[in-house]
Amino acid sequence: MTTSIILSIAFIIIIMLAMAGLSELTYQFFGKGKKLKLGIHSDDDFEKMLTIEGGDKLLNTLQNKGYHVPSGCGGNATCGQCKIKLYTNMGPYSPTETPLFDRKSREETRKFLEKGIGDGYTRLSCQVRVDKDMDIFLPKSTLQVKKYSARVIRKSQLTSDKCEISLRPLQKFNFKPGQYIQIGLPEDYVEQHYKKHGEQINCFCKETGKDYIPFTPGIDLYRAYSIATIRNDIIKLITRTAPINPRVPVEKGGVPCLGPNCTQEYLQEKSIWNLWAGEKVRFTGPYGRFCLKEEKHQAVFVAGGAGLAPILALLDQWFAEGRKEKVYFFLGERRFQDIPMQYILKWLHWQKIHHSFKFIPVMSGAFRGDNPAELDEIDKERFTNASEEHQRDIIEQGYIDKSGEKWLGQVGFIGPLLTNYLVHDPKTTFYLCGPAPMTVTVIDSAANTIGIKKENILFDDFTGTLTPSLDLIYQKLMIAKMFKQLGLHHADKDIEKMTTILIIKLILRDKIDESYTFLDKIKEILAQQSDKEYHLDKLFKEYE
Amino acid sequence: MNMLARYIRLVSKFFLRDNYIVSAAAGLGFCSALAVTNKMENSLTMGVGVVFVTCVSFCLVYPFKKLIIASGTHHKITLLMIIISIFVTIFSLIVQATIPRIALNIKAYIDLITTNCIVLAVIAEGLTFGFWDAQKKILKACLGYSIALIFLALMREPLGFGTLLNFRILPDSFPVVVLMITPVGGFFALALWRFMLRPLFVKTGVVYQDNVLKEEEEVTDAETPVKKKPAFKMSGKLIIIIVLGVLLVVSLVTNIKAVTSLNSQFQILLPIFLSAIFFDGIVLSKLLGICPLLNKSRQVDAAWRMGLAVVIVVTLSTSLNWLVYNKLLIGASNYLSSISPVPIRLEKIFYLTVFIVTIATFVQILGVLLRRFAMDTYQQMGQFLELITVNCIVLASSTFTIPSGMSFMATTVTAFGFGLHWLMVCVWLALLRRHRLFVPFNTWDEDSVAILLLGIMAAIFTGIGAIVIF
Repeated sequence: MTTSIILSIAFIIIIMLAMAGLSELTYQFFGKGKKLKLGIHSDDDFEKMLTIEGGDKLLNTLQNKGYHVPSGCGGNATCGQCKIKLYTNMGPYSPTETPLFDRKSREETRKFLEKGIGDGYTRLSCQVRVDKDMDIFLPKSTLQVKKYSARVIRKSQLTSDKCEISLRPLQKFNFKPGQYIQIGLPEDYVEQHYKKHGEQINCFCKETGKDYIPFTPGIDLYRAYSIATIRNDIIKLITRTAPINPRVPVEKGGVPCLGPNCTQEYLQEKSIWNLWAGEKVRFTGPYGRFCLKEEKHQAVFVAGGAGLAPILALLDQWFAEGRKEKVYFFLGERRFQDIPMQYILKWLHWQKIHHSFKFIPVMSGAFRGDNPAELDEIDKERFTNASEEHQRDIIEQGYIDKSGEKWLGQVGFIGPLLTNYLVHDPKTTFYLCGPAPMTVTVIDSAANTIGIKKENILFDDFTGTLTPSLDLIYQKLMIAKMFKQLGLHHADKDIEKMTTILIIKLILRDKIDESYTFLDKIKEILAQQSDKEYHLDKLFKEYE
Repeated sequence: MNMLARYIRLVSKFFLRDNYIVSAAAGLGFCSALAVTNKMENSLTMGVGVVFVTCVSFCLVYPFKKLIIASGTHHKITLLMIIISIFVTIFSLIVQATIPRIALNIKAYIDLITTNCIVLAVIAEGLTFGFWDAQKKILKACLGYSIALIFLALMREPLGFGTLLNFRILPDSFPVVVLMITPVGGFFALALWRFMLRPLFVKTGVVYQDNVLKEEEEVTDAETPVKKKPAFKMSGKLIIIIVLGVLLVVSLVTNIKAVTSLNSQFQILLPIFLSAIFFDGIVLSKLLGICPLLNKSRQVDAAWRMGLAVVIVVTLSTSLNWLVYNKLLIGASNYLSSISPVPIRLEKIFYLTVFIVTIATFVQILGVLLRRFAMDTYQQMGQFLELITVNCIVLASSTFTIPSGMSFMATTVTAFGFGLHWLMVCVWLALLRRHRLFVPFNTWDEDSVAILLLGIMAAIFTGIGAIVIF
């Protein structure tokens, strides 16, 4: 009995092995592919080169390498889920996959294949046979980025638009202070947001010429947040409610950007479509190289808005390591009400016990003509609602007068104030994080007045425009030197004009390419022999 | 309260969004959904079967993830298929032992869980995830499938029999809609169900509607004529001449009494062939091979090529299977039975595994050889060839004919008939769909319309089948 059962099983196994051997033999003799290179690109400059064996379907190749490209039908060109963007021309659609693409993507594909317009085109990866080296784009959710999950354990309102969220990671999570993580937004929450505001977002995108990406189920949305702490058991993030259209604030019915702390109303009604205490979120990370330098140095921290988060972590690290060098901390806010009361006590305390630390809050005013030196009703309310310790410390260190009516600290913008505190010292290191207008102007004036070296300016480039802006500002500095060397008539005036055009008209409107041409034109004019002033005037007028 | 509402929303979305049967546009797993849902008990058994097979075989596959990935794609499908088919066999045996009444009804479809598109796809995709994430996805797909089956049965059984789970719920006087329980009714029921549920899903936000295909019409129209192959362009006269010629040959051969063996063969084979191609077709009365049919019939060109590939693969692999089954399996069983005290019939247990492995190997080898030696043919047909490894038609034409002990010629002719039937229906549907009868504006409704068309075609064929020719 046993023998016959064993025999029968052995027989079946032999049949299977024979079949497999047959197919393996055929494969070895006839079907073997060449070794090829497959480049995988993604957001955040992710790049990876894989060595693969050619001849197979792209979907299978990717799945074998562990990238989970979704596919409902298992490579039958039926479900249309395995669409992948290719940077290399791998031939036109096969007849099976054509119906699965809409008109727009067909149009794009045609353009790319026939005329080479655009950077790539989309195909079903189960229909692409890898027979040459190729480059593809994979969305973030399919990459092998280490994913963590965390629970929201606390959420507290810092100011009217800022919120602190504490997460407890469920796995061990190590990071360096100053780095950031990307939170995957819960899908149902995103969907609700798009349902409510989709049309307005679409309108705004059309106005500004951006691409409107509609909500697509199954694709995770990620948002980047800097970590505001040095502890790795509890991660703190600072989120800010920002309207998508800066001209329509959230209070006036503007549509808020998508994020864990998205909408005022969601917050207030404690709606479920918001990250709430107890919610489980997924995040990836850590990313970024915005960290303290190892060697001893004098540091200037500049923070504004939600950019406070990494600066907080860096400051914590600075004092935890017991560094003794001079530190300046500029905090740019609109009014007193925007300073997070939760942290100010710590800063004031540090200022009291460390002579090397200087805390300089700078109020710019909420709108043009607003005088932040006069505390308005909300400011006063916040001040009187603060604890006695707060009130005492703030008054003691001279930021608000005794009656609680007047702001005695700095007013205006951080850039021009730098010279009040800092002397010319190229070795000082600047750590910047905040809205682009603040960052760019501070970099400009630091480069101008203090002569900071380019490599001593550190920042987190979330938008991708800051790095070229830095380059532009230093180019402009060179040109300004040339102005002086050439001894033009109103060199100072011209430099000032050039600066305003470059920064306000071009860089802050994200016109990076145009800025480069602008500087090139000035260089050309300076290289000419005559009529420099006249040409410069003409150029400036043109740009104004 | 908010939490509760959110969880209800989440759970319903989890199962109903991207549900392959009721809400996804692709139309995977329709075959069994149509065939077994005329009774609630059948649907329940089928649902349990799919969930069981997928979850358990994934548990077995997962530890060997590395091995399966390392063995390369040409072995991956075969390996997965072996494991799945073994569990299908186990499930099938369990069902036959415990609930023989149901097993009798849906035995054929339980076997075909092996080639259920959902099972293989979910397992292959799951290999790239962590274990629990993958199990979650599997549960989503399979439970979603079961839920859809239950939905369908909820509609068909009370209307067709007046009962639910064999309890009478409608009074005897209620007019019974016999259409609902026939195979033809399956198409109508599914199409109706999808049309009815669609507005509800859109309203409750379960289905996210964004793919509007308004302007697709002209694009398709513009593309089709360009891609038309001259080979398929036959004039009406030519077709009539060919058909007349075939009929002449057939009548000649059947009437030559001199060659008795040939004559007797044709006496048997012609009815089999005709019944396979028209009256008892694999799509229209056995309700199989619907998922590729729905998708490949979007373009006439693709329909032709896919159909040809199906004809070739079905015919060849079925005859190969006949050889393997009758010579290898039965021979081995005879030998084993002769030396062991109890009879061991391997072919009763392992036929499924052997069939599917033979098919997979055959298609794999054919693909490789074509790619190497006939690149032109391969480019014309190759990709379709590989698509049909996991096609239910191929396995079904083996399981329907071979175990019942048909002769080699009969099996091959039946398989050929099945293939031709599929080709015919596919091209026909493609031509009908090109005319855009209802001008639907999204793929979801478009598929529903296609199902409705299939239903009408099935009704026509049932009518033809009722005419007694021989």
